[in-house]
Amino acid sequence: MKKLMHRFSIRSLCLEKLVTFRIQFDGVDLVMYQYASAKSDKRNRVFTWGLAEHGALGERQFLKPIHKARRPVEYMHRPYRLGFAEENDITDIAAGYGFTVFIAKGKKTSSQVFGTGLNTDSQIGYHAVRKDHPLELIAEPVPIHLPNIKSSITGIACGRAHTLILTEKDGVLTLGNNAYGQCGRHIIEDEDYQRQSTVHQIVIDDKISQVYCGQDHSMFVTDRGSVWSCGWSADGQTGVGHYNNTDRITKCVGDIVGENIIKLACSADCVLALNDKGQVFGWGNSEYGQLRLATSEMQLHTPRHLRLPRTFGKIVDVAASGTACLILNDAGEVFVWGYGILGKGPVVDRSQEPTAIPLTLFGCNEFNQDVKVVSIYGGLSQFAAVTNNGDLYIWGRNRSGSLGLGHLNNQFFPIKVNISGYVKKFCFGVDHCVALCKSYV
Amino acid sequence: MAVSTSVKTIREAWFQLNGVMCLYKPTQISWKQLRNTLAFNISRDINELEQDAPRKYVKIESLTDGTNVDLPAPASYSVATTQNLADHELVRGPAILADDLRLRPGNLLGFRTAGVIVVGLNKGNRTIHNLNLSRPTSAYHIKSQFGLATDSHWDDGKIWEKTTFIHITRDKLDRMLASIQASNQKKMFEYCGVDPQSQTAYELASKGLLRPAVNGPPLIYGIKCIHFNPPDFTLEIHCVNENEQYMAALIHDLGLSLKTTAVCQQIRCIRYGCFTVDDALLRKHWSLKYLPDHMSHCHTKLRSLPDIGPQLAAYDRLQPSHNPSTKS
Repeated sequence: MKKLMHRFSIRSLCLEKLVTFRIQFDGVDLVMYQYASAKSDKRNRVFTWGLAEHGALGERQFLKPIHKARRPVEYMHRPYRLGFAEENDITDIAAGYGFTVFIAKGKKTSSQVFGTGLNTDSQIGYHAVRKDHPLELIAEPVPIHLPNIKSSITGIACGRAHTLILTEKDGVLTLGNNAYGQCGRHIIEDEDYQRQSTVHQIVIDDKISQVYCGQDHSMFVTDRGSVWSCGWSADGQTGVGHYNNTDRITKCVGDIVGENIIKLACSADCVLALNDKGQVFGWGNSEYGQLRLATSEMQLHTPRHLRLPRTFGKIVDVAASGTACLILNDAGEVFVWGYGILGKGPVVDRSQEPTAIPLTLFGCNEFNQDVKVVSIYGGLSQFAAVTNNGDLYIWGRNRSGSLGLGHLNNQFFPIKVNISGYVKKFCFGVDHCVALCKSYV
Repeated sequence: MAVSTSVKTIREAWFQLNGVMCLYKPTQISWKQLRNTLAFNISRDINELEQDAPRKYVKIESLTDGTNVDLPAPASYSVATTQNLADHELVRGPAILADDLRLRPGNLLGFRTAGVIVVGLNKGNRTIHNLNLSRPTSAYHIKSQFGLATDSHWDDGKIWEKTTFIHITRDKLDRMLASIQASNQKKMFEYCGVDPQSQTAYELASKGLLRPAVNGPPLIYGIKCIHFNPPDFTLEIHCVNENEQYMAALIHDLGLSLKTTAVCQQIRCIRYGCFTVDDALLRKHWSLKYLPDHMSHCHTKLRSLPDIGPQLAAYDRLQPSHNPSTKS
């Protein structure tokens, strides 16, 4: 049979295309079907789930069913494979509060940003079907118009109602709500953000390599590892040494000065930072004891080093929810502290010290001994972890089915989400989730 | 427990013929055929043993014809001991019939499946029952082939279609198997019969592998590829509550998710609980000459197991209405 097949030259094929060969085999006419080409054609897939009413899932039919008799979908409590991602090659994703932003790369065109969902503050651009009547809600991904941008787009981040777009050479572009200066431009009293078509450009002397958003503040990491920020600072989450809002991008102070920061994590107003030596820093809100390792105050406006026990080893990833923190060490073990659903059962709802979550909950057992957690993510009241097998484990509050487990009940320990793909990146919105995956075949 | 070689008579042999045996079932025979073969062999061999001495029949007859009542009582009856004809071989037939042997399988292997089958004999059925309550896992080797799809999901079925499989690599197959395994581990919590919101669920889950509380849905604990040479490949599967049809369908679905098709060629059970192929008795040894020693070997093996008891079987009684629907 193998010899038989090699007689035919196999063309490279589209994914969905089915090619048949009519071959003679023992004098009988047989049809040989080909569903995949010999060339590796692994594709990126995007799965979305959670509340569907605001359109952030990116499926038009959820809001406007083709069949008139069918009612709009309220929520999707299991992962939904996004059709938009099959037509476009998605390279990066970000989820805000009720909206989702994608970076798509066309075959001939350069990368382009698409947005879907709530657009009450023009956080995904100005989209008006009629003149002067911009859409407040966008049901499927639409391209975001970015004027005069020549270089390619390398990263995105979404806050409560603003979006940051990182470009290769043109700095960072900001869209959306600027009530606290999170877009890095001058705050205008009573500005109408809904009719806003402004795209602000932030350029600093250093090259910005990563962008992160909290609820209403923005953070920037340069390629030298210094951290800059702007926006809301009521809890000191900008880390610039005071509690006043900053509408100009400002360099953070405190213990992170001089450190090479490689990763930030923030979902609301508590920020964790990780440097290249595996040390963790924190600032912002500490009402639930998230930063108790550095301070006993409720708030911290200056970044401080969190002294973790030596036994934890080198920390390789950090994640923060609104009330708890999660860290991952190089052995693939996960430690959690704070308040809320920590992933250690319904009884343990607060922890002062970082405590380990058993690795058995991430599928490590006698049949599968080499399971490690490789990346972690935090939402407002949920956490997620991706293992080295590309499986996504999730736990926390299940607002509108945003855990994707097929039900609306809270999950008190990590459990696998059924996604048919190798999870590469994951994003929590406030009541929806987006996962960027690679297909198995 | 088992018959010792010194036992000479049928009666002695019969009373000790209780226990658990581990046999190697060939392919292409059903459990009924296996049971009949086994029962026939045992009954044939046992009937060749030395017959027991027939029971005595005590014959008491009246010497008088009933009219003379003056004679004293002892003198009026005669007592004679003769042979009991009910025990005569020509009257009662063979001592042990095949139907007298109660044989029950621990793991019911399908018609095409070969490999380890654990069988209880007479009072050994109770041991089988207790063994099954702990829901032991089985291990299988499944030999399969890419590029074909048939109506029965076996290689000798009617061909539905032929497909190419040149795109399949070891890496892609392994990744797909890892995904199947992880999804099944999630199902484990659903089937363990406790409320997933409870502290008990967390404590059970953090212990690692759980056995299902109910005897229903198949559950895969481990699945890996042990031989890969397209179009041929062999999987090793550790599972509970499985059946032959489920595994053939699993291979078919695996093929579809790899954008080709696959059929099953052989299924071999290599382990059931603590019994492996090394313990299994071949068909040529299914006779009274080997079975007693074998049963005592199996008994020692079962006795040496830690007393796990019926794992999680308690939840059967706690939540009788629990119906594990296959939500996934």
